Amino acid sequence: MPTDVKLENYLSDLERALRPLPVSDRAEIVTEIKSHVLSALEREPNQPMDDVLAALGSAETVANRYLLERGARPVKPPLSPIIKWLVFGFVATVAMCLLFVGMLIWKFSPLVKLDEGSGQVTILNGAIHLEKGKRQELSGDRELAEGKRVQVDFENGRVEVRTAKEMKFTWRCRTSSTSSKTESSATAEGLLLDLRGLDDLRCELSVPRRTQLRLAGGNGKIDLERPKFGIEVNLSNGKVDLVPDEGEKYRYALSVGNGKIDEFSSSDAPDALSVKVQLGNGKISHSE
Amino acid sequence: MYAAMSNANDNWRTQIRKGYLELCILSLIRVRKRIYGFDLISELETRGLEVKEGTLYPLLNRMTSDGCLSAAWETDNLKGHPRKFYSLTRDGQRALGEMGSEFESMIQVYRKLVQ
Repeated sequence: MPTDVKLENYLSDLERALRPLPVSDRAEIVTEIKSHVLSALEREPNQPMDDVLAALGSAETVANRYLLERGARPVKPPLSPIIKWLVFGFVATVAMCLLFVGMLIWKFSPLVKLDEGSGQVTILNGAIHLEKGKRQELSGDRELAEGKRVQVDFENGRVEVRTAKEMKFTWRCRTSSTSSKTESSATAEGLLLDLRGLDDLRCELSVPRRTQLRLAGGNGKIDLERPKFGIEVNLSNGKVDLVPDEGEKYRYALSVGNGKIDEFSSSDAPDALSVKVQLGNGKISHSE
Repeated sequence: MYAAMSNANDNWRTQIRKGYLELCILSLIRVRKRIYGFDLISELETRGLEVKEGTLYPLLNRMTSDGCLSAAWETDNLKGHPRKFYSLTRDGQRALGEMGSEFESMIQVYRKLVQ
């Protein structure tokens, strides 16, 4: 680069860095510095311009010394235009992404909504809708005398069992299966309710006192609340929760292949109700 | 530790030169009557005081604003480019006298301290 151009560039930078000062002061300073450089080159003509300018210091440094001597704040060197645009571009991109995400969240809120009652799952405010299938309701009742037995067979589901107020066995079930075929038939011992083949079963059973209930299933959860009847449960996998009735005595025969059994207080009284539970994997809990 | 001491010494040297340099500039200009920046740097260097150009010119600018120096542009027909010549003002003369006295006092104090 020709010497004059280097000097002019330097003086341009100096003048720009002196911008807090009045125009006339800036011009005088630039002229004096130029005079110094020319004097140096006169004294040593072979001296490189770069050396003369390096001895002065960078234009920003010289300008800042002038400003400091006058009690003004030094000027920070301006950012390269490329860097300025890079920073601006990055900030703008991040801002736009955040805005877009915010709009998506606002548009598709709630993101996931679960209706436990109907078993429906709504994703992205209805953009995706999952339905487990309509639930069929099955219900019925049968007279059941004392000493009789009702057998309920099922595959998978949840069964809640209470003591009926009357001598009548009632069932009220919901299933997601579209086919609602069930069988309830009288047997010599009492009654058989076959709920096998029904998916996602939810049943409430009311069993008359002093009768016998036999529940046999694959996977499930069985809640026995204050039973006043004998019970026999056979379950492959799941959990059995038993809330004993305070006015009753029970004779327990409980076994779990893999799992846990809470403590139960068994009675040998002749009028104690028999509670037999066989569970393959799971837990037999004593609930209050 | 040596680096820390060296830094401390450099800081001290920088601080003490700030006031001392002004005294030297005023003294030299009084002797020369009028001088321009480039020659001033050379004269100071000859007398053992090295000053960077980037330091001197802002200082001359401020001393002119303060009224200690007056400046005038002159163009040498033979050399071509304009030069800014500095000379002492009356205020500069007075300031030089006060600084010189103060400096002499400081030297006396220092000599007493080291005896």
